Amino acid sequence: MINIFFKKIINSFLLILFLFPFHVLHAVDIVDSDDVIVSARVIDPNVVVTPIPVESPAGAVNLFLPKIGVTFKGEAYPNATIFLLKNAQQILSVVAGTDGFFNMSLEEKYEDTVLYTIYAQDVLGNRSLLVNYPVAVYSGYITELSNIRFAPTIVTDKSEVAYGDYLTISGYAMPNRALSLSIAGGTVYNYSLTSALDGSYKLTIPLVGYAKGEYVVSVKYLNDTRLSKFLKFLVGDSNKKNDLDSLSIPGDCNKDNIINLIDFSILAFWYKKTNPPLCVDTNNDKIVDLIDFSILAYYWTD
Amino acid sequence: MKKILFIIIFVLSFSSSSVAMAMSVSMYSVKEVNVGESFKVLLSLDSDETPINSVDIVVEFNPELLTFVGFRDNDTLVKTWIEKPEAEGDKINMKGIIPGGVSGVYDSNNKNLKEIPIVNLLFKAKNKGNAEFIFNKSNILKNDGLGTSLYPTQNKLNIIIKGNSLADKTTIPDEFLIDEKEFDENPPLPFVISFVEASSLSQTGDMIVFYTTDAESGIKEYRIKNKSDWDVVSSPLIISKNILPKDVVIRAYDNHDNFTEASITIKGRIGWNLIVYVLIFVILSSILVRKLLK
Repeated sequence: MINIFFKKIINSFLLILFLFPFHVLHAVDIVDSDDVIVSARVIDPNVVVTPIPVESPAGAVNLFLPKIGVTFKGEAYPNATIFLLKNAQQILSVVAGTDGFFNMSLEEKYEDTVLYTIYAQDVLGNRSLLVNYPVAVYSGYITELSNIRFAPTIVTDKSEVAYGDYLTISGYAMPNRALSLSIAGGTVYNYSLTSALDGSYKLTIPLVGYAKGEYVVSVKYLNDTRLSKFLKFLVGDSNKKNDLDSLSIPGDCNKDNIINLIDFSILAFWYKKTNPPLCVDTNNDKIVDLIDFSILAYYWTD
Repeated sequence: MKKILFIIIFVLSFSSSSVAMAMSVSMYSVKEVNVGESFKVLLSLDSDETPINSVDIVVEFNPELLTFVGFRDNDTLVKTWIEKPEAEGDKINMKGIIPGGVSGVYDSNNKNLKEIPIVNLLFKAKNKGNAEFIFNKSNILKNDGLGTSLYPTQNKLNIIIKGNSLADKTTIPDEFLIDEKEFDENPPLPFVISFVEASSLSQTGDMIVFYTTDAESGIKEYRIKNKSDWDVVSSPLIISKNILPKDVVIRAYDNHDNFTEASITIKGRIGWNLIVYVLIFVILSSILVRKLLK
């Protein structure tokens, strides 16, 4: 009797699970990719507003309420300058606080899908990779994007390191954060470090055991997916210092440490032409094709 | 037996919900139009939230039924074109990039990212029939610094083209109308012209680079001043230096023929300073020689 009763309970349970819409069992997840949170606040339609985009000092808080608008909040590096581009045109910049957090807002005129691009520049002038936020903007709403994060900036002191010598890697991140640094060649070497209170980090690595050849170094926050720029260096016969003219960014033919329309245009000149120079052939396959443009697009900074 | 069946169905329910949505490219447009009407076809990519930065797409259409009249990228995400959408026979080829890459569109009305709008293709209905649009090719590259190729599934589009009697008049939804912002009175955004000097590294000639956007109707073309004419050009533009400095003027036109102008002075092979010094030298020399001869 009891067995029959339990059998009926189990069967009923299984039946309910089958009939019940499964997606309801998932926890409602309002977080989008990369944990950026998008929310909308309805503004008071009776309020008359005058949109005033503000270029603010540290710890910016914008004080206007436009009828259509977008707000960006997140973390960069202490006292970094955050640049906002709309459809590839720079329109706004703010300075992050000493804690690395920033906040900026923008009025819009139309309902539309708008491509916003943000990048951060640390106090030494080194830039993060671009972060794009295509946003569907609606009339009567301020669309707020929060939890924006940039990977740390990164520079190396040498473009070529003599076999067995040292390489210094440095940059800026959020203060007092655990970082994971990776050097990849034939083998991948991982290093752990923590950023200082001012957000700076620096690691000098003896490249003992590193075979001669090309390597790529990058850094990220521990347990985060967003990677910094990949910087190339060689382990060779002599040391060659990196100066402001040579940070070895793929596709940076004019060596200004920025990947922008000018570099794109140089690649476009060589598109489908034979024997391209090394600096445009970003993947070294002797042709300039969509793959080279894709690599350039990854490193785009302005 | 019933219990086993229920368990199987229960497990399958979990499996189907945990399978990720496949990456796909699609086309969206009207269902019906009349001969003579113009409309947009939106190419869109669902990247399943994978960040992508490059597209290489070929769309096939029926040129007996349709005329390709151009494209718009003012409210889509691919704006940096290696090859702008252009028709060759029954195929429209296009290659472009999104600097920095995107994973989808953030929309506060949706929990997940929306599809990536790639470009709007513009067509005019020419003859009655069933117009089919198919993807001949759709190579999408990942934003991973390596150019990894992704091959999404491809979805077709069918549009019925009807006769053009008044009784058959269709209403094209706003989102697929061309020139839906009827009065675009605003010119494109201001822009600068950059001069890129020839270098041994890039091995290009001297060239100028220019780019801007137009929020309302999109950029139609660029023109360069050539005496009293304006010639259509595109960026980058190879430019030769003259002996003397010269001014280059470029206009960016939107699809309502509003324009914004920018200019740059290209240094000559001989600068103005040198010319002035030479003239001064010649004048002074002439004066000195005259005095000596007297």
